[in-house]
Amino acid sequence: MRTVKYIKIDTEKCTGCRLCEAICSASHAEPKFGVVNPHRSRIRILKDAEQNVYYPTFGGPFTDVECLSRSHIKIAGREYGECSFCRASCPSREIYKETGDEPLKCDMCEQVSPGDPLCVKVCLVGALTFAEKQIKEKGEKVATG
Amino acid sequence: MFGWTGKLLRVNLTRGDYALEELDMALVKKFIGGRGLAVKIFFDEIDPRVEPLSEENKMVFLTAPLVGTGAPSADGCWVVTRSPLTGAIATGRFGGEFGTELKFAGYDGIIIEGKAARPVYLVIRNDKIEFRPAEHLWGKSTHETDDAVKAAMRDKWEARDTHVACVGPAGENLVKISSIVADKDHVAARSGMGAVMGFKNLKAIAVRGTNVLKVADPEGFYKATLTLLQRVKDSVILSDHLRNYGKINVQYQANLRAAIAVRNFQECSFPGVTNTNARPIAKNYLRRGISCYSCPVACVRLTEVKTDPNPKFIGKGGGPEFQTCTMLGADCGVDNLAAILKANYLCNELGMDTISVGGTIACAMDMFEHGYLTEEDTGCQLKFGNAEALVDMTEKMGRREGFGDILAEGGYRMAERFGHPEFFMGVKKQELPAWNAQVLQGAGLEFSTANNGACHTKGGVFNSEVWGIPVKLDRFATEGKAPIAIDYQNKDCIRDAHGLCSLLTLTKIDDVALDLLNTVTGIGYTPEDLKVIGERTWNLERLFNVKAGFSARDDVLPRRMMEEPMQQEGPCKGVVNRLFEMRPEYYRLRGWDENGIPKPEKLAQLGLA
Repeated sequence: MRTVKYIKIDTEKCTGCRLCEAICSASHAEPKFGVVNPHRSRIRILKDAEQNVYYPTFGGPFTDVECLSRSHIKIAGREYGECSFCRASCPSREIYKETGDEPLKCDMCEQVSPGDPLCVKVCLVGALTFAEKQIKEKGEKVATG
Repeated sequence: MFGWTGKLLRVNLTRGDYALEELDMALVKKFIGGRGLAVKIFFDEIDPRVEPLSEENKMVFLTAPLVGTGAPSADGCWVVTRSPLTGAIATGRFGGEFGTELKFAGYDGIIIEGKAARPVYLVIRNDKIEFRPAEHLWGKSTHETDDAVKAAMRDKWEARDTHVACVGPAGENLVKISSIVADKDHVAARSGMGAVMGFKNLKAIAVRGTNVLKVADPEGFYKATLTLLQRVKDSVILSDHLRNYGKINVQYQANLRAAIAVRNFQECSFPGVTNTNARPIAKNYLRRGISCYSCPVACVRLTEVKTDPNPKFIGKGGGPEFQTCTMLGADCGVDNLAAILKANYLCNELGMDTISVGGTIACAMDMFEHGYLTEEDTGCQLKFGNAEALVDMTEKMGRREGFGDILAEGGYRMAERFGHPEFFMGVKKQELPAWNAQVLQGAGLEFSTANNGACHTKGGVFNSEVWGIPVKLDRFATEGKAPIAIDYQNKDCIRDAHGLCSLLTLTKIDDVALDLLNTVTGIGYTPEDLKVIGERTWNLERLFNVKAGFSARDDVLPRRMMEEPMQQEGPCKGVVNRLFEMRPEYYRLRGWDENGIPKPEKLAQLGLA
């Protein structure tokens, strides 16, 4: 087993303020913190007040084709639209892309603030936290039960 | 260009075209932005005697330098026009994300001129600007309009990031207390600005932007942002009370301190508040607390009435906050929370100012109880505490049906029509907010001198008088209130010019706000500059009003507040507002003559001559 750090999301606490988007885009800009544009952020908040959905997602893998697995998902009485949870930068939508279609992926602020992701730092409501989890090594067997 | 985008969009609805203009940086140095700059732009283009509902009147939507940069709680978009309700300058602000999106689209503000021949709405997508027909949206509520405008965008991803400011049926019907609603539940409410937009046949403005904003001193800006976030985190009021319960949280304590409007300001504390305060809302109706752009406080409430014995009260939407809940509740003698929530939803959907709606209905109820209105006039038993009548009248007002048509003209015109203007509780024909000015001397001075009519966002002496924030003041004393009121009013102008939310003033922000401003713009304002800018803004608004025909005789509270002692038992028994003990000193310290008109030397000193 190995301990890894990750950014934990609590969707119940998110208020949709988008401070994380602002600081993320600013910290990855040139000059650092000098340019703000949430459109280029590597974290985006999906908001739907009608459904009471406030869902932050991080930019993840890059794919150059659209996928076919699209469905509406219902969790705890709230309906999430297609692509809601998807972290991919894909041709079907404009998010997680730099101008010129370069994909943007969350790098946990390794360059700008190692070990202390800025989106977590500015999230005063506690929707984003920097947490630890145990993952299995490749080929490792873990006793269960 | 840092902080600003440097461009203004001038839209002419008569011709159906638009032009781009450079933002005048000399004016930015003089007024910073937000409310002050918007008033300046408006003042320079308009004769203050222009008919408010006419083709010649204009509207200025303007953001501020901090808006959109990610500076905490910098999200304001100011709307300035001449008010159809008061005839004075109307300065309103909504939060949400409209202002931010406008800046990302590449514009600091929009100037609306003329009048469209047919209903239109404006779609701004970066440098693409379209006028689209809005006949199909006419008559639709603000929420329906928001959804319909978004649905007509290119795809759902674009729709997701589009932000809409619109008017509801009230604005279309030229209701004098109508509002402009952005992002469904963020409202520029006071002074009837919705009617101006409705008159111009402009149903909505939709914005989508993907451009960048630049900051002059990135490292300094980052540090100042973290400092301000830390201040918010350390403040119990902001990060506990307001985040967990919203602005309504103050109602319970304010009621205990006998400081709220009850039964058309006849009393100052209300037993029914036990049913209508923050706790029952959080327990029974709250869906979620949400925030405006880049705001860590998150005071906005989303609520829902799922079930109620009276099916008329079922609904969902944003709110209520303290002013709404008190004016629609205690001021109308209503303690049925579901009814208050429903009336709030209706106000947001129809596009009306909750304070004025509450004040107007309370005024009508007072007249009904005194026998100056009859059931023949109103169509129902319009008595204090009649929850169903509150909801009915709110809806009728927005649609101008039946007695609602008369109420839609606002409390003053309604009361005057029936021959009893003394029942109207307001200043400059605008209804007073929920702080009971009769028992808060300083608040009375502030409300009576506010340039846009009685308004709770133009000053904050009541914070000192009720809560002791930041300093404790004796609420019944008149000595020393004038300089403090002036200080508060000027500070408000400064804060509004930054683009920051008024709630931040509940903690100490002056130094860090200045840091943010200077690191974002790189202009190098000094604290002395800010003081002058605050005073300059206030005097400019005053100058507009003077030219529009206002003077000292309009800076008065309702006679009842100044002459009839408070009857209710308690700490405030026998109190009246002694406005005339404070006002001469106020005028003198402002550098105005005894008629409330700024003296030439004051104007010269402020560079307004």
